[in-house]
Amino acid sequence: MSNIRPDEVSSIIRDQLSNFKSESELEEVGTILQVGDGVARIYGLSNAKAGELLEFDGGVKGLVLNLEEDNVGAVLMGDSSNIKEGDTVKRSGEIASIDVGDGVCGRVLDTLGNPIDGKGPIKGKVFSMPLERKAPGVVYRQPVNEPLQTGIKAIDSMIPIGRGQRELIIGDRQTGKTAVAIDTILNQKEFYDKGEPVYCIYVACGQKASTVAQVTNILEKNGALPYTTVVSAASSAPAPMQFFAPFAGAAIGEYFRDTGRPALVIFDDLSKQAVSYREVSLLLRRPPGREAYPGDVFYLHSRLLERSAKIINDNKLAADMNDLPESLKGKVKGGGSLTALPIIETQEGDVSAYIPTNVISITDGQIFLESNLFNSGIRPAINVGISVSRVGGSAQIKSMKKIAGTLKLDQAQYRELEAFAKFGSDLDPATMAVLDKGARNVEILKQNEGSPFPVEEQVAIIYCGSTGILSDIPTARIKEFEENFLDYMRNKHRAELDVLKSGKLTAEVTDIIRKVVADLSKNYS
Amino acid sequence: MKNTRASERYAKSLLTLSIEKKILDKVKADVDLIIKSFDNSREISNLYLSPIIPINHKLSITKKIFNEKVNEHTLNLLINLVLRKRDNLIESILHKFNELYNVQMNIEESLITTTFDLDKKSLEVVKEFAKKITKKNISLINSVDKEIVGGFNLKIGDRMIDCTVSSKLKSLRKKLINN
Repeated sequence: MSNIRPDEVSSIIRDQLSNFKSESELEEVGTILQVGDGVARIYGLSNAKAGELLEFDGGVKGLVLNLEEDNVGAVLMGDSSNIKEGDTVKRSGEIASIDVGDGVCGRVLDTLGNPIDGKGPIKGKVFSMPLERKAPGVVYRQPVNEPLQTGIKAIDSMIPIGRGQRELIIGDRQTGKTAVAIDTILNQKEFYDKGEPVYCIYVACGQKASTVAQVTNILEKNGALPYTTVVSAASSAPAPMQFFAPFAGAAIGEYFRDTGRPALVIFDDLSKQAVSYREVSLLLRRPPGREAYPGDVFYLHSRLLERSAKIINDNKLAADMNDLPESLKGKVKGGGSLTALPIIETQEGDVSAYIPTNVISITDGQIFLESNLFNSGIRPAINVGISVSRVGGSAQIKSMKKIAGTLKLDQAQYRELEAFAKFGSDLDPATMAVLDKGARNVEILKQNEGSPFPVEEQVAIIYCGSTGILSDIPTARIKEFEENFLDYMRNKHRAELDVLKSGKLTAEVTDIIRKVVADLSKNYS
Repeated sequence: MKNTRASERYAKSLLTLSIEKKILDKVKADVDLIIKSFDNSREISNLYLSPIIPINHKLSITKKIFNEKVNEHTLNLLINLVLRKRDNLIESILHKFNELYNVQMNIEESLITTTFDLDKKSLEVVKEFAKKITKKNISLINSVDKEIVGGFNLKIGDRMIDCTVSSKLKSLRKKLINN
């Protein structure tokens, strides 16, 4: 700080002062009747709209949620310790919104879009995107037809996710829900390097600040931060900030979606968001319903998740989209998408609780993670039997579709027979074959955290598993074989992998895979 | 502002009764007098807020203080409230009455805060200005507050024109910090 010259400082201040506007406008104000628990009741403000941003005396922002006969209920989006009864509150006239631009990539933001990573203000042009916005209408959408590669074998083969889909990740604590989501972000690096990035947004809602820091660290280490934005409302943030965080994430995603680019938003997690919404609702004296959640908790999630969409690939039509924010007019392009991966934490595997059933019914499918699978070493601990993807199948690449069709069936049969096989050892050869193949497939579908696979490698190894050509390799050594096999394919048969990537599964390629497997499996018997 | 619903009921009946009997001006003067006496003396407000003082004591005190000074209907209201143990609401009922009175007479209350007492002429100018904005009759109060440093702050209903030096300084400070 020693090299600041006083004359420089005074010239800057003079500059600032000469530009300082001293106009006064007619403002609308109210007085605080009551404040506490992050909620304020305000007298006056007779023209305030629901969802409008208010400004309190100390510069703290608030949001109108309740309009009552003689007062207005508002939540505080910040520290409430300096706000007293009798203070004046100003209407801002604008709806709560967040500044988004290409500069948000690689940043950590709070719910109101303020950077909290200490890297200074957001660079580049920013557009104001409203937190609450209506989802695109039917005319502006098109069916999901492009895959969103998660890089996780079990998901990409059996529970495929398409761009614009909403796929729920659900499971108990400590089952690797966040890990699945983070791996998906890491896998988008391939597309970023190719120059067709899938912009990722990770919304941490009610998470520990240390977890958020850890996730950011993982992303940075793996080079995923340049195309990722983290929206953080840690558990120490006020409840309204927590329940609006997913909306902020969706607003950022919409910016990319409406400018014709693919985006992926992860809501981690919506059960905590529902809890903070419940807190605020109860403080605002809204009547509680089942599990003390307010009646509109379903609408809270449905309107949020409805915003993820695949926009029609027609610039002219897309430009007429409903509810476009002023700032984005003229910039809209078609063909963008917003994929949502909401996360729900269940208690003791109870998916029939209120929030899980709600979100299951809203989303286009779910990925179930189970703690007993996790503990028996099957990671990712996906229960393939009850996980579904209702629309993703049409987005799978052809080669994957061909080989994965039998995989899901095989695994279902395997699980059925597995229970029988425990009783006796006298089994006929056909049953033994199914069991053998199933056990090997389970091994193949195991995957370490933070190591997503490109789709062509997934196709190659799953092809080996589903055709049963690995029967000579002992189950325990499948992982080892997989590594060697993929190494070999990458080094010697790049061209064939590229064919698989383009979606074709030709006889020449399968012949080569069979030959490689035959050669390699000699070392394992 | 407690129990606003009950206070509204009482205030409304007082208003409609006084309109019916054509004594609205008198009652309004009474209400202003009572509010003033409440503001000036803590003892009176404490008297009515206290549940320990027996009702007959409260009654005789009420009669002694307000008899002759206020209209019989206003006095009846006070006595009634004491008898029904609603006397803790007196203040909020009176404020509510003023609110309803303003609506009835199409009056908007406004408050101008300055660093010194304004003369009559400037008050008239402010009144005219406020009238233009609200298209209502204006009752203007002038309050003096040295804290605002200079300029003025005009509040009309729930609208405000903030031309104080202190708020200008505040926003300037914010702007300088942000840059």
